[in-house]
Amino acid sequence: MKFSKLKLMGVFLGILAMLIFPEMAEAQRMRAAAGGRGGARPATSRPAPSRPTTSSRPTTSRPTTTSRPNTGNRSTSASKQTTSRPKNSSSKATINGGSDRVTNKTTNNSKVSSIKGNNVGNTTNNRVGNNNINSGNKNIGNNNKINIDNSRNVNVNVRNTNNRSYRPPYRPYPRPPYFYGGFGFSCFRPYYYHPYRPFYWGPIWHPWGFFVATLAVTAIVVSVENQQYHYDQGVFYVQDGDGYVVVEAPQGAKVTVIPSEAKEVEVSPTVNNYYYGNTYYEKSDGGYTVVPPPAGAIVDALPEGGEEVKVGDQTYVKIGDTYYLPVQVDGKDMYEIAQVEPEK
Amino acid sequence: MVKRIFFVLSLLLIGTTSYSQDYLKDTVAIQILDKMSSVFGDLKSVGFKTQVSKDVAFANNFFIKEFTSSQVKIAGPNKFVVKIIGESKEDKYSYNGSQVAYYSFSNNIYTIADAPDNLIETIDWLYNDYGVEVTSADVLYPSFSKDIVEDMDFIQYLGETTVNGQRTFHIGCSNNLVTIQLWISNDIYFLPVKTLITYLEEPYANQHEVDFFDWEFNQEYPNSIFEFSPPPGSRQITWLNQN
Repeated sequence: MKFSKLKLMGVFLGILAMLIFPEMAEAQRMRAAAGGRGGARPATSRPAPSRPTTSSRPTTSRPTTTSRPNTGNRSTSASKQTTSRPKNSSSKATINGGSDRVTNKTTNNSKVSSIKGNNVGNTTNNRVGNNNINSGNKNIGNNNKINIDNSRNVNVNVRNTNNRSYRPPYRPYPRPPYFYGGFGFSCFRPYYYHPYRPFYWGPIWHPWGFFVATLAVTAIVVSVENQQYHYDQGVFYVQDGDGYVVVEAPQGAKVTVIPSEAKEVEVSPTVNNYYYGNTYYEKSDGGYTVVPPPAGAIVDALPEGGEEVKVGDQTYVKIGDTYYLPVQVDGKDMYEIAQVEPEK
Repeated sequence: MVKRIFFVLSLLLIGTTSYSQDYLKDTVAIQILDKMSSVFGDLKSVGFKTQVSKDVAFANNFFIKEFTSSQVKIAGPNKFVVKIIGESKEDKYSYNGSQVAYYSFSNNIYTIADAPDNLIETIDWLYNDYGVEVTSADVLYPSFSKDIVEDMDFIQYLGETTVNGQRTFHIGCSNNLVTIQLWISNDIYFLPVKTLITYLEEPYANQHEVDFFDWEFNQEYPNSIFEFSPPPGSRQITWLNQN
Protein backbone atom coordinates (compact mmCIF):
# COMPACT_ATOMS: atom_id res chain seq x y z
CA MET A 1 0.00 0.00 0.00
CA LYS A 2 2.71 2.41 1.09
CA PHE A 3 4.81 1.37 -1.87
CA SER A 4 2.08 2.20 -4.42
CA LYS A 5 1.66 5.67 -2.82
CA LEU A 6 5.33 6.30 -3.16
CA LYS A 7 5.24 5.11 -6.73
CA LEU A 8 2.36 7.52 -7.50
CA MET A 9 4.31 10.33 -5.88
CA GLY A 10 7.29 9.44 -8.05
CA VAL A 11 5.22 9.55 -11.22
CA PHE A 12 3.80 12.93 -10.23
CA LEU A 13 7.23 14.39 -9.58
CA GLY A 14 8.47 12.94 -12.84
CA ILE A 15 5.71 14.64 -14.85
CA LEU A 16 6.44 17.88 -13.00
CA ALA A 17 10.11 17.60 -13.91
CA MET A 18 9.26 16.99 -17.56
CA LEU A 19 7.12 20.09 -17.64
CA ILE A 20 9.96 22.15 -16.24
CA PHE A 21 12.66 20.58 -18.46
CA PRO A 22 10.98 19.37 -21.63
CA GLU A 23 14.33 19.00 -23.37
CA MET A 24 15.47 16.54 -20.73
CA ALA A 25 12.40 14.42 -21.29
CA GLU A 26 13.13 14.46 -24.97
CA ALA A 27 16.67 13.37 -24.44
CA GLN A 28 15.51 10.47 -22.40
CA ARG A 29 13.07 9.48 -25.04
CA MET A 30 15.82 9.54 -27.66
CA ARG A 31 18.05 7.41 -25.60
CA ALA A 32 15.23 5.04 -24.79
CA ALA A 33 14.43 4.81 -28.47
CA ALA A 34 18.02 4.03 -29.23
CA GLY A 35 17.91 1.34 -26.62
CA GLY A 36 14.81 -0.11 -28.25
CA ARG A 37 12.88 -0.67 -25.07
CA GLY A 38 11.87 2.80 -24.02
CA GLY A 39 8.36 1.82 -23.06
CA ALA A 40 9.51 -0.76 -20.56
CA ARG A 41 12.03 1.42 -18.75
CA PRO A 42 10.54 3.36 -15.84
CA ALA A 43 12.37 6.45 -16.97
CA THR A 44 10.17 8.94 -15.26
CA SER A 45 10.03 7.33 -11.89
CA ARG A 46 13.80 6.74 -11.30
CA PRO A 47 15.45 10.10 -11.71
CA ALA A 48 12.48 12.23 -10.73
CA PRO A 49 13.15 12.70 -6.99
CA SER A 50 16.58 14.19 -7.56
CA ARG A 51 15.76 16.44 -10.50
CA PRO A 52 13.86 19.23 -8.80
CA THR A 53 16.98 19.91 -6.74
CA THR A 54 19.04 20.24 -9.90
CA SER A 55 16.50 22.48 -11.50
CA SER A 56 16.45 24.89 -8.59
CA ARG A 57 20.24 25.39 -8.68
CA PRO A 58 20.76 27.07 -11.98
CA THR A 59 17.69 29.28 -11.79
CA THR A 60 19.03 31.14 -8.78
CA SER A 61 22.57 31.48 -10.10
CA ARG A 62 21.89 32.32 -13.71
CA PRO A 63 20.68 35.90 -13.26
CA THR A 64 24.06 36.75 -11.81
CA THR A 65 25.66 35.59 -14.99
CA THR A 66 23.39 37.68 -17.16
CA SER A 67 23.91 40.82 -15.12
CA ARG A 68 27.71 40.41 -15.00
CA PRO A 69 29.23 43.60 -16.29
CA ASN A 70 32.43 41.92 -17.35
CA THR A 71 30.93 40.86 -20.63
CA GLY A 72 30.62 44.48 -21.61
CA ASN A 73 34.21 45.15 -20.71
CA ARG A 74 35.37 42.17 -22.62
CA SER A 75 33.62 43.26 -25.77
CA THR A 76 35.19 46.69 -25.45
CA SER A 77 38.66 45.29 -25.10
CA ALA A 78 37.99 42.91 -27.92
CA SER A 79 36.92 45.76 -30.18
CA LYS A 80 39.98 47.73 -29.14
CA GLN A 81 42.15 44.82 -30.17
CA THR A 82 40.42 44.37 -33.49
CA THR A 83 41.33 47.90 -34.47
CA SER A 84 45.03 47.26 -33.92
CA ARG A 85 45.30 43.73 -35.22
CA PRO A 86 43.22 41.55 -37.47
CA LYS A 87 41.27 38.64 -36.05
CA ASN A 88 43.32 36.22 -38.07
CA SER A 89 46.81 37.17 -39.09
CA SER A 90 46.53 35.09 -42.23
CA SER A 91 44.27 32.68 -43.97
CA LYS A 92 46.03 29.77 -42.29
CA ALA A 93 43.58 27.20 -41.01
CA THR A 94 44.87 27.36 -37.46
CA ILE A 95 43.12 28.43 -34.28
CA ASN A 96 44.26 32.04 -34.63
CA GLY A 97 45.45 32.21 -38.22
CA GLY A 98 49.08 31.94 -37.20
CA SER A 99 51.06 33.97 -34.68
CA ASP A 100 52.64 37.37 -35.27
CA ARG A 101 56.25 36.51 -34.55
CA VAL A 102 58.51 39.01 -32.89
CA THR A 103 61.69 37.12 -33.72
CA ASN A 104 62.46 36.42 -37.33
CA LYS A 105 62.54 32.92 -38.67
CA THR A 106 66.15 32.09 -39.25
CA THR A 107 67.71 30.36 -42.19
CA ASN A 108 70.09 27.83 -40.77
CA ASN A 109 73.17 26.96 -42.73
CA SER A 110 74.50 23.47 -42.65
CA LYS A 111 77.98 23.16 -41.13
CA VAL A 112 79.44 19.71 -41.49
CA SER A 113 82.80 18.19 -42.24
CA SER A 114 83.92 14.67 -42.88
CA ILE A 115 86.23 12.72 -40.64
CA LYS A 116 87.58 10.96 -43.73
CA GLY A 117 89.28 14.11 -44.95
CA ASN A 118 91.34 14.37 -41.80
CA ASN A 119 94.91 13.37 -41.43
CA VAL A 120 94.15 11.72 -38.12
CA GLY A 121 95.82 8.68 -36.71
CA ASN A 122 99.38 8.30 -35.69
CA THR A 123 100.89 7.49 -39.04
CA THR A 124 103.96 9.38 -39.99
CA ASN A 125 103.83 10.98 -43.34
CA ASN A 126 106.55 9.46 -45.45
CA ARG A 127 106.86 12.33 -47.83
CA VAL A 128 110.40 13.57 -48.01
CA GLY A 129 110.92 17.27 -48.04
CA ASN A 130 108.44 19.82 -46.98
CA ASN A 131 105.29 19.90 -48.99
CA ASN A 132 103.56 22.54 -47.02
CA ILE A 133 104.55 25.40 -49.21
CA ASN A 134 102.09 26.23 -51.95
CA SER A 135 104.17 28.84 -53.62
CA GLY A 136 101.91 29.24 -56.60
CA ASN A 137 98.76 29.47 -54.57
CA LYS A 138 97.58 32.90 -53.62
CA ASN A 139 95.23 31.54 -50.98
CA ILE A 140 95.70 29.33 -47.97
CA GLY A 141 96.04 25.80 -49.30
CA ASN A 142 92.99 23.61 -49.81
CA ASN A 143 94.04 21.18 -47.17
CA ASN A 144 94.25 23.88 -44.60
CA LYS A 145 91.74 22.71 -42.05
CA ILE A 146 91.79 25.45 -39.52
CA ASN A 147 89.57 28.47 -39.26
CA ILE A 148 91.56 31.60 -39.52
CA ASP A 149 89.86 34.83 -40.24
CA ASN A 150 92.73 36.42 -41.99
CA SER A 151 91.87 39.16 -44.40
CA ARG A 152 95.23 38.95 -46.12
CA ASN A 153 95.84 36.20 -48.62
CA VAL A 154 99.04 34.38 -47.94
CA ASN A 155 101.05 32.10 -50.16
CA VAL A 156 101.83 29.39 -47.66
CA ASN A 157 99.98 26.46 -46.27
CA VAL A 158 100.17 27.08 -42.57
CA ARG A 159 99.64 23.42 -41.75
CA ASN A 160 102.59 21.12 -41.59
CA THR A 161 101.50 17.90 -43.27
CA ASN A 162 104.52 16.03 -41.94
CA ASN A 163 103.37 16.48 -38.40
CA ARG A 164 101.72 13.69 -36.47
CA SER A 165 98.40 14.52 -34.84
CA TYR A 166 99.35 12.92 -31.52
CA ARG A 167 101.88 10.74 -29.78
CA PRO A 168 100.43 7.54 -28.23
CA PRO A 169 100.16 7.44 -24.44
CA TYR A 170 102.62 5.41 -22.36
CA ARG A 171 99.83 3.36 -20.77
CA PRO A 172 96.81 1.56 -22.24
CA TYR A 173 93.38 3.12 -22.15
CA PRO A 174 91.07 1.63 -19.52
CA ARG A 175 88.15 1.20 -21.88
CA PRO A 176 87.55 0.33 -25.52
CA PRO A 177 87.58 3.31 -27.90
CA TYR A 178 84.46 5.00 -29.18
CA PHE A 179 84.33 4.11 -32.86
CA TYR A 180 83.23 6.78 -35.25
CA GLY A 181 83.68 6.78 -39.00
CA GLY A 182 86.35 4.10 -38.93
CA PHE A 183 88.35 5.77 -36.16
CA GLY A 184 88.53 4.86 -32.50
CA PHE A 185 88.49 7.84 -30.13
CA SER A 186 90.17 7.19 -26.78
CA CYS A 187 90.57 9.32 -23.70
CA PHE A 188 91.36 8.58 -20.06
CA ARG A 189 89.08 11.13 -18.45
CA PRO A 190 85.32 11.46 -18.68
CA TYR A 191 83.84 14.01 -21.04
CA TYR A 192 82.89 17.27 -19.40
CA TYR A 193 81.75 19.94 -21.80
CA HIS A 194 82.84 23.53 -21.43
CA PRO A 195 82.76 26.10 -24.20
CA TYR A 196 85.85 26.58 -26.33
CA ARG A 197 87.30 30.00 -25.58
CA PRO A 198 90.58 30.59 -27.43
CA PHE A 199 93.47 31.67 -25.31
CA TYR A 200 96.01 34.34 -26.27
CA TRP A 201 99.54 33.98 -25.04
CA GLY A 202 100.24 37.69 -25.19
CA PRO A 203 101.20 40.19 -27.90
CA ILE A 204 104.24 38.27 -29.10
CA TRP A 205 102.36 35.08 -29.73
CA HIS A 206 100.34 34.73 -32.97
CA PRO A 207 98.00 32.05 -34.29
CA TRP A 208 98.64 30.05 -37.46
CA GLY A 209 98.14 32.09 -40.60
CA PHE A 210 98.98 35.39 -38.93
CA PHE A 211 101.03 37.69 -41.15
CA VAL A 212 103.78 39.99 -39.95
CA ALA A 213 105.79 42.33 -42.11
CA THR A 214 108.96 42.07 -40.07
CA LEU A 215 110.44 39.75 -37.52
CA ALA A 216 112.03 40.68 -34.22
CA VAL A 217 115.80 40.68 -34.13
CA THR A 218 115.63 37.80 -31.67
CA ALA A 219 114.24 35.50 -34.40
CA ILE A 220 116.45 32.59 -35.38
CA VAL A 221 116.48 30.36 -38.42
CA VAL A 222 115.55 26.72 -37.91
CA SER A 223 115.80 24.17 -40.68
CA VAL A 224 113.63 21.08 -40.75
CA GLU A 225 113.42 18.70 -43.72
CA ASN A 226 114.98 21.24 -46.06
CA GLN A 227 112.47 23.89 -45.11
CA GLN A 228 113.64 27.05 -43.46
CA TYR A 229 111.63 28.44 -40.59
CA HIS A 230 112.05 31.52 -38.49
CA TYR A 231 111.49 30.98 -34.82
CA ASP A 232 110.79 33.68 -32.33
CA GLN A 233 109.48 33.24 -28.77
CA GLY A 234 107.38 30.12 -29.30
CA VAL A 235 106.16 31.01 -32.80
CA PHE A 236 107.34 29.57 -36.13
CA TYR A 237 107.19 31.65 -39.31
CA VAL A 238 107.93 31.07 -42.96
CA GLN A 239 108.75 33.81 -45.39
CA ASP A 240 105.94 34.90 -47.65
CA GLY A 241 106.70 37.63 -50.17
CA ASP A 242 107.40 40.79 -48.28
CA GLY A 243 106.65 39.36 -44.87
CA TYR A 244 106.30 36.25 -42.72
CA VAL A 245 103.38 33.96 -41.96
CA VAL A 246 102.90 32.00 -38.76
CA VAL A 247 102.80 28.25 -39.41
CA GLU A 248 102.32 25.10 -37.40
CA ALA A 249 105.51 24.27 -35.52
CA PRO A 250 107.37 21.58 -37.47
CA GLN A 251 107.86 18.46 -35.36
CA GLY A 252 111.53 17.71 -35.01
CA ALA A 253 112.56 21.36 -34.96
CA LYS A 254 115.08 22.08 -32.24
CA VAL A 255 115.27 25.40 -30.47
CA THR A 256 117.38 26.53 -27.59
CA VAL A 257 114.91 28.71 -25.77
CA ILE A 258 111.18 28.50 -25.22
CA PRO A 259 109.02 31.20 -23.60
CA SER A 260 109.09 31.21 -19.83
CA GLU A 261 105.27 31.01 -19.82
CA ALA A 262 105.46 27.46 -21.22
CA LYS A 263 103.70 25.02 -18.90
CA GLU A 264 104.84 21.57 -18.00
CA VAL A 265 102.63 18.79 -19.28
CA GLU A 266 102.94 15.33 -17.82
CA VAL A 267 103.43 12.74 -20.53
CA SER A 268 104.45 9.87 -18.26
CA PRO A 269 105.81 9.61 -14.70
CA THR A 270 109.30 10.16 -16.08
CA VAL A 271 108.73 12.48 -19.05
CA ASN A 272 107.35 15.98 -19.11
CA ASN A 273 106.70 18.14 -22.15
CA TYR A 274 106.46 21.90 -22.28
CA TYR A 275 103.37 23.47 -23.78
CA TYR A 276 103.17 26.94 -25.19
CA GLY A 277 100.91 28.36 -27.89
CA ASN A 278 99.68 25.00 -29.17
CA THR A 279 103.20 23.62 -29.51
CA TYR A 280 104.66 20.81 -27.43
CA TYR A 281 108.37 20.73 -26.69
CA GLU A 282 110.49 18.02 -25.14
CA LYS A 283 113.69 18.95 -23.39
CA SER A 284 116.71 17.50 -25.11
CA ASP A 285 120.44 18.08 -24.94
CA GLY A 286 120.98 21.77 -25.17
CA GLY A 287 117.48 22.71 -26.16
CA TYR A 288 113.90 21.81 -26.80
CA THR A 289 112.53 19.69 -29.63
CA VAL A 290 109.04 20.15 -31.07
CA VAL A 291 107.11 16.91 -30.50
CA PRO A 292 103.62 15.68 -31.36
CA PRO A 293 100.82 16.41 -28.87
CA PRO A 294 101.03 13.67 -26.22
CA ALA A 295 97.71 11.78 -26.13
CA GLY A 296 96.34 11.44 -22.64
CA ALA A 297 98.04 14.62 -21.40
CA ILE A 298 95.96 17.59 -20.34
CA VAL A 299 96.29 21.26 -21.14
CA ASP A 300 94.36 24.21 -19.80
CA ALA A 301 94.37 26.50 -22.84
CA LEU A 302 93.83 26.15 -26.57
CA PRO A 303 94.61 28.77 -29.18
CA GLU A 304 92.33 30.34 -31.74
CA GLY A 305 91.95 28.52 -35.03
CA GLY A 306 90.29 25.43 -33.56
CA GLU A 307 86.74 24.35 -34.15
CA GLU A 308 84.27 22.50 -32.00
CA VAL A 309 83.12 19.32 -33.67
CA LYS A 310 80.33 16.99 -32.64
CA VAL A 311 81.54 13.40 -32.69
CA GLY A 312 78.65 11.15 -31.75
CA ASP A 313 77.46 12.36 -28.37
CA GLN A 314 80.55 14.36 -27.55
CA THR A 315 81.98 17.67 -28.66
CA TYR A 316 85.72 17.87 -29.25
CA VAL A 317 87.86 20.85 -30.12
CA LYS A 318 89.81 20.11 -33.25
CA ILE A 319 92.98 22.03 -33.92
CA GLY A 320 94.71 20.98 -37.06
CA ASP A 321 94.29 17.22 -36.96
CA THR A 322 94.46 16.92 -33.19
CA TYR A 323 91.29 16.30 -31.19
CA TYR A 324 90.95 17.68 -27.68
CA LEU A 325 88.28 16.37 -25.32
CA PRO A 326 86.85 18.89 -22.84
CA VAL A 327 87.36 17.46 -19.35
CA GLN A 328 87.40 18.72 -15.81
CA VAL A 329 90.32 18.10 -13.49
CA ASP A 330 90.09 19.14 -9.84
CA GLY A 331 87.17 21.40 -10.70
CA LYS A 332 89.10 23.18 -13.46
CA ASP A 333 88.16 23.14 -17.14
CA MET A 334 90.89 21.41 -19.14
CA TYR A 335 91.39 19.56 -22.42
CA GLU A 336 92.73 16.07 -22.85
CA ILE A 337 94.57 15.23 -26.05
CA ALA A 338 92.64 12.37 -27.63
CA GLN A 339 94.02 9.36 -29.40
CA VAL A 340 92.21 8.98 -32.71
CA GLU A 341 93.33 5.76 -34.25
CA PRO A 342 92.12 4.09 -37.46
CA GLU A 343 89.91 1.10 -36.67
CA LYS A 344 91.79 -2.17 -37.05
CA MET B 1 72.04 -54.47 -38.38
CA VAL B 2 74.30 -51.61 -39.50
CA LYS B 3 71.60 -50.52 -41.95
CA ARG B 4 69.05 -50.45 -39.14
CA ILE B 5 71.31 -48.34 -36.93
CA PHE B 6 71.93 -45.98 -39.83
CA PHE B 7 68.17 -45.76 -40.50
CA VAL B 8 67.40 -44.99 -36.83
CA LEU B 9 70.17 -42.37 -36.72
CA SER B 10 68.87 -40.80 -39.93
CA LEU B 11 65.38 -40.63 -38.48
CA LEU B 12 66.71 -39.03 -35.32
CA LEU B 13 68.68 -36.54 -37.37
CA ILE B 14 65.69 -35.68 -39.54
CA GLY B 15 63.55 -35.40 -36.40
CA THR B 16 65.98 -32.97 -34.76
CA THR B 17 66.26 -30.87 -37.90
CA SER B 18 62.51 -30.63 -38.38
CA TYR B 19 62.10 -29.87 -34.67
CA SER B 20 64.52 -26.94 -34.92
CA GLN B 21 62.95 -25.88 -38.23
CA ASP B 22 59.53 -25.70 -36.52
CA TYR B 23 60.88 -23.27 -33.94
CA LEU B 24 63.06 -21.29 -36.32
CA LYS B 25 60.46 -18.79 -37.54
CA ASP B 26 57.30 -18.99 -35.50
CA THR B 27 54.29 -17.86 -37.56
CA VAL B 28 52.41 -16.51 -34.51
CA ALA B 29 55.36 -14.28 -33.67
CA ILE B 30 55.71 -13.16 -37.27
CA GLN B 31 52.03 -12.34 -37.48
CA ILE B 32 52.22 -10.20 -34.32
CA LEU B 33 55.26 -8.38 -35.70
CA ASP B 34 53.45 -7.87 -38.99
CA LYS B 35 50.43 -6.46 -37.16
CA MET B 36 52.61 -3.99 -35.30
CA SER B 37 54.45 -3.03 -38.46
CA SER B 38 51.25 -2.49 -40.42
CA VAL B 39 49.82 -0.21 -37.71
CA PHE B 40 52.88 2.03 -38.12
CA GLY B 41 52.53 1.79 -41.87
CA ASP B 42 49.05 3.30 -41.63
CA LEU B 43 49.91 6.22 -39.38
CA LYS B 44 50.19 9.81 -40.56
CA SER B 45 51.81 10.90 -37.36
CA VAL B 46 52.88 9.32 -34.13
CA GLY B 47 54.03 10.53 -30.76
CA PHE B 48 55.41 8.58 -27.83
CA LYS B 49 57.74 8.71 -24.89
CA THR B 50 60.51 6.31 -24.00
CA GLN B 51 62.68 5.34 -21.08
CA VAL B 52 65.97 3.90 -22.24
CA SER B 53 68.61 2.07 -20.27
CA LYS B 54 71.79 0.89 -21.91
CA ASP B 55 75.09 -0.61 -20.92
CA VAL B 56 78.03 1.67 -21.56
CA ALA B 57 81.63 0.50 -21.39
CA PHE B 58 83.17 2.22 -18.41
CA ALA B 59 86.28 0.10 -18.34
CA ASN B 60 87.45 -2.86 -20.35
CA ASN B 61 85.55 -5.33 -18.21
CA PHE B 62 83.06 -3.04 -16.57
CA PHE B 63 79.80 -1.78 -18.03
CA ILE B 64 77.70 0.82 -16.33
CA LYS B 65 74.01 1.55 -16.94
CA GLU B 66 73.08 4.82 -18.54
CA PHE B 67 69.49 6.04 -18.41
CA THR B 68 67.77 8.46 -20.72
CA SER B 69 64.20 9.43 -21.38
CA SER B 70 62.87 10.90 -24.57
CA GLN B 71 59.83 12.48 -26.07
CA VAL B 72 59.26 11.80 -29.75
CA LYS B 73 56.85 13.37 -32.26
CA ILE B 74 56.95 12.17 -35.84
CA ALA B 75 54.82 13.50 -38.68
CA GLY B 76 54.84 11.90 -42.09
CA PRO B 77 56.36 12.21 -44.55
CA ASN B 78 59.27 14.32 -43.37
CA LYS B 79 59.24 15.75 -39.88
CA PHE B 80 60.28 14.76 -36.41
CA VAL B 81 61.36 16.20 -33.14
CA VAL B 82 63.03 14.19 -30.39
CA LYS B 83 63.95 15.54 -27.00
CA ILE B 84 66.34 13.43 -24.98
CA ILE B 85 67.03 13.92 -21.32
CA GLY B 86 69.86 11.93 -19.81
CA GLU B 87 72.51 12.09 -17.17
CA SER B 88 73.97 15.59 -17.48
CA LYS B 89 72.50 16.16 -20.92
CA GLU B 90 69.37 17.55 -22.47
CA ASP B 91 69.37 17.39 -26.24
CA LYS B 92 66.94 17.95 -29.06
CA TYR B 93 67.01 16.71 -32.63
CA SER B 94 64.53 18.32 -34.99
CA TYR B 95 63.92 17.59 -38.64
CA ASN B 96 61.83 19.98 -40.71
CA GLY B 97 61.89 18.13 -44.01
CA SER B 98 65.16 19.58 -45.29
CA GLN B 99 67.56 19.93 -42.35
CA VAL B 100 68.28 18.18 -39.11
CA ALA B 101 69.22 20.39 -36.21
CA TYR B 102 70.82 19.18 -33.01
CA TYR B 103 70.66 21.43 -29.99
CA SER B 104 72.21 20.87 -26.58
CA PHE B 105 70.18 22.69 -23.93
CA SER B 106 72.84 22.14 -21.31
CA ASN B 107 75.71 23.46 -23.44
CA ASN B 108 73.83 25.95 -25.66
CA ILE B 109 75.48 24.67 -28.84
CA TYR B 110 73.87 23.38 -32.01
CA THR B 111 74.66 21.70 -35.30
CA ILE B 112 72.82 21.81 -38.60
CA ALA B 113 73.07 19.40 -41.51
CA ASP B 114 71.14 19.23 -44.78
CA ALA B 115 69.08 16.05 -44.67
CA PRO B 116 67.25 13.79 -47.13
CA ASP B 117 63.63 14.65 -47.84
CA ASN B 118 61.86 11.82 -46.07
CA LEU B 119 61.76 10.31 -42.61
CA ILE B 120 63.09 6.84 -43.19
CA GLU B 121 66.05 7.99 -45.28
CA THR B 122 66.78 10.70 -42.74
CA ILE B 123 66.71 8.27 -39.81
CA ASP B 124 69.05 5.99 -41.76
CA TRP B 125 71.29 8.88 -42.77
CA LEU B 126 71.50 10.15 -39.19
CA TYR B 127 72.63 6.74 -38.01
CA ASN B 128 75.07 6.05 -40.83
CA ASP B 129 76.56 9.53 -41.17
CA TYR B 130 76.40 10.85 -37.63
CA GLY B 131 76.00 7.81 -35.39
CA VAL B 132 72.72 9.16 -34.04
CA GLU B 133 70.13 6.55 -33.27
CA VAL B 134 66.68 8.09 -33.15
CA THR B 135 64.97 6.41 -30.22
CA SER B 136 64.50 2.83 -31.28
CA ALA B 137 63.38 3.87 -34.69
CA ASP B 138 63.78 0.31 -35.91
CA VAL B 139 60.19 -0.50 -35.04
CA LEU B 140 59.02 2.36 -37.25
CA TYR B 141 60.63 1.01 -40.40
CA PRO B 142 58.13 -0.21 -43.00
CA SER B 143 60.28 -3.28 -43.49
CA PHE B 144 60.61 -4.02 -39.77
CA SER B 145 58.97 -7.46 -39.71
CA LYS B 146 60.57 -8.38 -43.03
CA ASP B 147 64.01 -7.37 -41.75
CA ILE B 148 63.52 -9.34 -38.54
CA VAL B 149 62.50 -12.42 -40.47
CA GLU B 150 65.47 -12.06 -42.82
CA ASP B 151 68.09 -11.22 -40.21
CA MET B 152 67.12 -13.46 -37.33
CA ASP B 153 67.80 -17.18 -37.20
CA PHE B 154 65.27 -17.75 -34.48
CA ILE B 155 61.92 -16.05 -33.91
CA GLN B 156 59.49 -17.34 -31.34
CA TYR B 157 56.30 -16.29 -29.64
CA LEU B 158 57.03 -16.80 -25.95
CA GLY B 159 53.52 -16.26 -24.59
CA GLU B 160 51.55 -13.55 -22.88
CA THR B 161 52.91 -11.57 -20.00
CA THR B 162 52.24 -8.33 -18.14
CA VAL B 163 54.72 -5.50 -18.64
CA ASN B 164 54.22 -2.04 -17.14
CA GLY B 165 50.67 -3.03 -16.25
CA GLN B 166 49.79 -3.99 -19.81
CA ARG B 167 49.04 -7.40 -21.23
CA THR B 168 51.66 -8.06 -23.86
CA PHE B 169 52.80 -10.65 -26.37
CA HIS B 170 56.36 -11.66 -25.68
CA ILE B 171 58.49 -12.39 -28.73
CA GLY B 172 62.09 -13.50 -28.77
CA CYS B 173 64.44 -13.37 -31.76
CA SER B 174 68.10 -14.16 -32.06
CA ASN B 175 71.03 -14.70 -34.35
CA ASN B 176 74.70 -15.15 -33.53
CA LEU B 177 75.24 -11.42 -32.96
CA VAL B 178 72.20 -10.31 -31.08
CA THR B 179 69.10 -11.35 -29.20
CA ILE B 180 65.98 -9.22 -29.39
CA GLN B 181 62.99 -9.44 -27.11
CA LEU B 182 59.85 -7.51 -27.84
CA TRP B 183 56.78 -7.07 -25.72
CA ILE B 184 53.90 -5.99 -27.94
CA SER B 185 50.62 -4.79 -26.50
CA ASN B 186 47.82 -7.29 -26.55
CA ASP B 187 45.16 -4.83 -27.63
CA ILE B 188 43.82 -3.47 -30.88
CA TYR B 189 46.98 -1.53 -31.76
CA PHE B 190 49.80 -4.06 -31.29
CA LEU B 191 52.26 -1.42 -30.13
CA PRO B 192 55.71 -2.03 -28.69
CA VAL B 193 55.60 -1.75 -24.90
CA LYS B 194 59.21 -2.78 -24.34
CA THR B 195 62.19 -3.87 -26.40
CA LEU B 196 65.35 -5.42 -25.05
CA ILE B 197 68.33 -5.95 -27.30
CA THR B 198 71.36 -7.88 -26.11
CA TYR B 199 74.43 -7.40 -28.26
CA LEU B 200 76.62 -10.46 -28.22
CA GLU B 201 79.37 -9.63 -30.67
CA GLU B 202 81.53 -7.50 -28.36
CA PRO B 203 83.88 -8.99 -25.76
CA TYR B 204 81.09 -8.62 -23.22
CA ALA B 205 77.38 -8.86 -23.93
CA ASN B 206 75.59 -5.60 -23.35
CA GLN B 207 71.97 -4.56 -23.34
CA HIS B 208 69.80 -1.77 -24.67
CA GLU B 209 66.34 -1.64 -23.17
CA VAL B 210 63.50 0.70 -24.17
CA ASP B 211 60.09 1.16 -22.56
CA PHE B 212 57.50 2.91 -24.70
CA PHE B 213 54.50 4.77 -23.36
CA ASP B 214 52.04 7.65 -23.96
CA TRP B 215 51.36 6.78 -27.58
CA GLU B 216 49.53 9.31 -29.75
CA PHE B 217 48.25 8.67 -33.26
CA ASN B 218 47.45 10.88 -36.20
CA GLN B 219 47.60 14.09 -34.21
CA GLU B 220 48.05 17.27 -36.20
CA TYR B 221 51.32 18.56 -34.83
CA PRO B 222 52.07 22.24 -35.45
CA ASN B 223 54.89 22.71 -37.96
CA SER B 224 56.70 25.09 -35.64
CA ILE B 225 57.66 22.27 -33.26
CA PHE B 226 59.81 20.76 -36.00
CA GLU B 227 61.61 24.03 -36.75
CA PHE B 228 64.80 25.08 -35.02
CA SER B 229 65.70 28.68 -34.22
CA PRO B 230 69.06 29.12 -32.55
CA PRO B 231 68.47 30.45 -29.04
CA PRO B 232 70.21 33.68 -28.08
CA GLY B 233 73.83 33.17 -27.23
CA SER B 234 73.98 29.70 -28.76
CA ARG B 235 76.89 28.70 -30.98
CA GLN B 236 76.86 26.57 -34.09
CA ILE B 237 79.55 23.92 -34.11
CA THR B 238 80.67 21.58 -36.87
CA TRP B 239 78.93 18.25 -37.18
CA LEU B 240 81.55 15.67 -38.04
CA ASN B 241 80.30 13.25 -40.65
CA GLN B 242 81.46 9.64 -40.44
CA ASN B 243 81.62 9.20 -44.20
